[in-house]
Amino acid sequence: MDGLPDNIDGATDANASSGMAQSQQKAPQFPDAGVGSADLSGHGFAGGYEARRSRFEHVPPETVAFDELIDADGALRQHWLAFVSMVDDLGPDELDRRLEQARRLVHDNGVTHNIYGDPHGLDRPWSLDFVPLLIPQTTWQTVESGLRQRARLLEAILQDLYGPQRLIREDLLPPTLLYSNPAYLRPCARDLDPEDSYDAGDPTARFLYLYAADIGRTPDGQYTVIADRTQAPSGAGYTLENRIVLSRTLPGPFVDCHVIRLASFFQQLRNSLVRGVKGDQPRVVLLSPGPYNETYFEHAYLARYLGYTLAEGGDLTVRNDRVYLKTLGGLQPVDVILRRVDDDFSDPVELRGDSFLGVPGLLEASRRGHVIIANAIGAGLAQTPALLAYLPRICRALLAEDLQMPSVPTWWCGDPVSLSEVISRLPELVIKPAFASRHSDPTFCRLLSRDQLNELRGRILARPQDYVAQQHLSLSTAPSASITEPEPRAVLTRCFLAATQDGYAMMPGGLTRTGPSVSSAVVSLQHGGASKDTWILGDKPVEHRTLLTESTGPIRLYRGGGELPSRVADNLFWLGRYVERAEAMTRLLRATLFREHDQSGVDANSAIRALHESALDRLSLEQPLRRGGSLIELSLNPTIAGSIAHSISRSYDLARTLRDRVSIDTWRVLQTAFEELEPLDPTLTESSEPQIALLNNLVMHLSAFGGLAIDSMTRGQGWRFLDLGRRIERAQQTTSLVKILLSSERDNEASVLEALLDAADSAITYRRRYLTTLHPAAVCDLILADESNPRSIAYQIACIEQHIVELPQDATHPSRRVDRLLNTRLLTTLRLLNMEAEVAVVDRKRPRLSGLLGDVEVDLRTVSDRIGQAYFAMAMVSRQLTGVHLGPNEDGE
Amino acid sequence: MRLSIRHQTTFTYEEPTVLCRNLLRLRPRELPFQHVETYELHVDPEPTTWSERLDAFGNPTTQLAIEEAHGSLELISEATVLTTPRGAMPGVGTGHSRMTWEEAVDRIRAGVDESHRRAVEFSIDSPQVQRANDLAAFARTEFQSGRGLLEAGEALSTRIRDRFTFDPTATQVGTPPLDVLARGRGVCQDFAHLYLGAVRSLGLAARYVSGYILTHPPPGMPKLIGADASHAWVSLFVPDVGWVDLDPTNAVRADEEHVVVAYGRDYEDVAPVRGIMQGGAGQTMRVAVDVDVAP
Repeated sequence: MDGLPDNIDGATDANASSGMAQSQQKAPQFPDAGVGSADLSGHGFAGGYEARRSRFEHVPPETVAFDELIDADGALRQHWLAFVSMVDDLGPDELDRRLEQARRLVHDNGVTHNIYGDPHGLDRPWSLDFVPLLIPQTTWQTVESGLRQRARLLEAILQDLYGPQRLIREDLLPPTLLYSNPAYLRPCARDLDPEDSYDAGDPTARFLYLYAADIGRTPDGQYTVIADRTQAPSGAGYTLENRIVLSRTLPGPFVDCHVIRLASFFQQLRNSLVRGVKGDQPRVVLLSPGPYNETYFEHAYLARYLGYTLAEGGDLTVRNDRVYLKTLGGLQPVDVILRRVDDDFSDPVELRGDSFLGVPGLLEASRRGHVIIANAIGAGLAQTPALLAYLPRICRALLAEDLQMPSVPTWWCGDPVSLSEVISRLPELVIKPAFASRHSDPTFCRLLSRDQLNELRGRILARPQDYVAQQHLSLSTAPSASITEPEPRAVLTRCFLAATQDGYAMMPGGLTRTGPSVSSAVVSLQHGGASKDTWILGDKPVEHRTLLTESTGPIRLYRGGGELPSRVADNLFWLGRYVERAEAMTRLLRATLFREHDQSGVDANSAIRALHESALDRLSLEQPLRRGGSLIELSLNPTIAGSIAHSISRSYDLARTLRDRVSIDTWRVLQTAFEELEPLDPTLTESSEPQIALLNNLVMHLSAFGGLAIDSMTRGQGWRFLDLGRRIERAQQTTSLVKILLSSERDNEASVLEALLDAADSAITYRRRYLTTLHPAAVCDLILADESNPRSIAYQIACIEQHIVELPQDATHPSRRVDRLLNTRLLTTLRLLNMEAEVAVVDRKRPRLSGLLGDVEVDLRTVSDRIGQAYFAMAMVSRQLTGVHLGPNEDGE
Repeated sequence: MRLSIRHQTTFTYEEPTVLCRNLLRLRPRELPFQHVETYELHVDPEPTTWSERLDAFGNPTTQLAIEEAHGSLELISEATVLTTPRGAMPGVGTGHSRMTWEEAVDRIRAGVDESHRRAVEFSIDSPQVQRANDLAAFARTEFQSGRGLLEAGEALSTRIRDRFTFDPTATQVGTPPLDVLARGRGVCQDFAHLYLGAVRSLGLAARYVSGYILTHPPPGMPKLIGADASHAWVSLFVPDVGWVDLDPTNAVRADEEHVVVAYGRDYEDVAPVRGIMQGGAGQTMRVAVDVDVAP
């Protein structure tokens, strides 16, 4: 329900722009001598492109699109010369090799974009087109000047509409456009009368800290704004990721083309956010709706890059009209919120009462000036599509300036004059909702049948205020899709601006999107288009900055170690548990399969039965064993809790919520494990070899996860909770394994003991110590009590003990402590065991061992619960006062 | 007339609430025809933070937060309000209007001046009141072609009083006006919403008013403590005389026995208490209102 209205459906159509009538008649011209390597004779980058471009069928010449690479006379544009010749010099083989590497990089980094309404929508891989769009700096400066003015204008509009409303008083904006606009949030109206104001902050505080505009180029080469993004603009993080990938793929052209770097923009954004904060260690959080949002990857990515804590609504609380982050170390004050939650979801007290994504009291905290919210709640009003129709006159009124950069010609149907114009010209227009609504596609009227057109006309006439019409634009085309065989695709660029002390600064670059095919009507990532890097070319070499600096380190770190949000600790704990659960089950299954398919003639029936019992015990099955479902099928069925597939899929989901916490390598390991299982090879059930190979791979990936956790995570509280989860899970799994296998004496017990050692990953250690003698007391000692064996229960409990001592203790909250007594008692019990006596057999049963292991199970569960209560309970559910919507009728009239 | 108002709201919870934040619209407005002489809001337990401001419609609102665990919350709003007969005051929707309702519709649509443009906010759909052809048809009985706006507006109020049954069990908060029309019953809030839906469907502008009314016990009977109620009526935009308050529950113009608390597009804008809390399962709410003539 939450998504940002940031799909970028422009009123744009690439169809009209495909092809190139004039150039079909003209022989392509060679550029000036001296740049001879750019070959337009059908070969190479530019030549191949021109040949493909000429092939497209053509529409009336006045709609011939501007081409970014080739000018109207068929000549290569000057600013592409260097790039084209370098690409040609690399040659197709080398380019292919590099692209393959780059694709792997995108995949491995887990760059994703969630698509709504797509069953496989979560984590759809980011689609990067490896041909950058090149724009000379001089051209870019014109764009920058226009958009800086526009940002000031939109800020002024917000100040006015949430303030004195001059635009209504002076009849500069139709009142219906404001009053029926769902983006106009009345609680955000600012009380400007000093007589009325209480202890409030600045009633003219800034709305726009980050502004984005989608711009395209009309056939005459002019830049035009197609849409404004003011609520919570997305895409800056993807832009950065594209840049990192592309600059690694084409390092030579990147440097030699004098591409201007992006890093300074992000520094400006950071400065912009903290400028108004008193005190020198401002805490900034990025407020995200969570992993089901379409751009969650970007939230995590930006948070990590900028060095901010990634928070969800439940991680924040308002106390005493100030915002705090709930961390393991207690409540930490928050000074600035970079907001990616929609306006109306931001505060359930004053805005949508059913929102769980926001923070109760946030609006009041911001009104009082206790927190800076970027962008301020309510800012989405300025991205209303219908506003485009009135910007020129509003600009003159509010800024006393002429609007520099035009918008796509727009008519708001709520205005009677515009309505009759729209109705008469309907077939040539594009119809969109007047008010920014989430995920609504524009309607291209010329693609409609007569009946559809009549139906649309009826809908517009019934509620004209809900629609805007826009002129069809033939967007410029640029070489796209393949760097070895580029094709023309319509392009649309999202530009980003950050507030500065006295205006706005624009990112030297942007997120350029392409149409999904040459003839596509919609340029949108939600519809399968790709994105590309945007290179602004300086006229002199750009100061060298290593890619390492640009790609990894936060520009300046000010995140302390102690501020792990409780929700994150909770998720890390369960990530540890699920990964361990998956690994234990995989080892158990492997031990079983290995024995089932062993050809050596050793009698393993008893061991196989025991292992089966243990495996089934871990699966949540409605019936003991459904007919036809083999153990491996059940274990690979993600719908059965306890199965390998289920545990891995839960781990993967948890890791997704921890994208700003887990390293790329850790993520990669889980992704690989996840991908091993999906799609599952259907022939897998037929023979044992691929089954065992799969299990071997899984064991390898899952142990790699453990290794990475040990080696690459700093020993902060995050690591501690991850490891606690693993240790508790491993102790529980091993306890249950021993209990099922050894509680009663089975036939051929030696084979059972061997299976136990195998499933508990302790066989080699045992053999080294005892050679081949298998004795229950020795096996139990190694698996239960030997603290030098990292697989033993005692080892896990000793680790848990150490963790509990190191957990944050909040003296002011006695409930937020975990008593280590229970755990210590458990450890002491294991240390003092007389193993010979523990494994004693009475009537083929081992009552002492069963009793001991039963106690261990209970104690472990208690320790786990107490940790949960002490540290994760802060995430409480909010509810609305239900009585309050009762009206006067309930008051007893 | 001097009226004293006591409005008590009590929430009790089976499980304690650990954190709650409320938005209240309980304080009567300061208006040309009513002056708030005294006002006090008692909250138990004592709020951690407390702030007052005017909302986008100019209504006084109180936001308060309670940050300690509590099993019940009590809000007592007490006011003494001096009201003046509106007939004696110019510019507050009194006097004789000569305008036909169609003329008013045209003037609002054209946005002839600032007051008309601002009235547009109350002539379009709002969260709980959507315009509909059936609502327009309902209004046409009174709004015949060429009829005076105010005359037709009062006639509509009278018909609602005469034709609709007051029945607190028939509707809930948020029952759409079309349903109220179909059922023929409801409470003051429903009648106000129905009225708003009907005139807005014609293109006119009208506001929702929340407030209190002085009630009179049947002759010879004592007045029962706590048996009064908060009340709701409408305010119709009549371009040549201003906003006229009409009470369709009682078919009267609101006057010195009515006290205005808040104006809005509909109930949603002026709900007396809104809130969000953590914990607090199993809540119940009790409301008691007393409106009396003060000495």
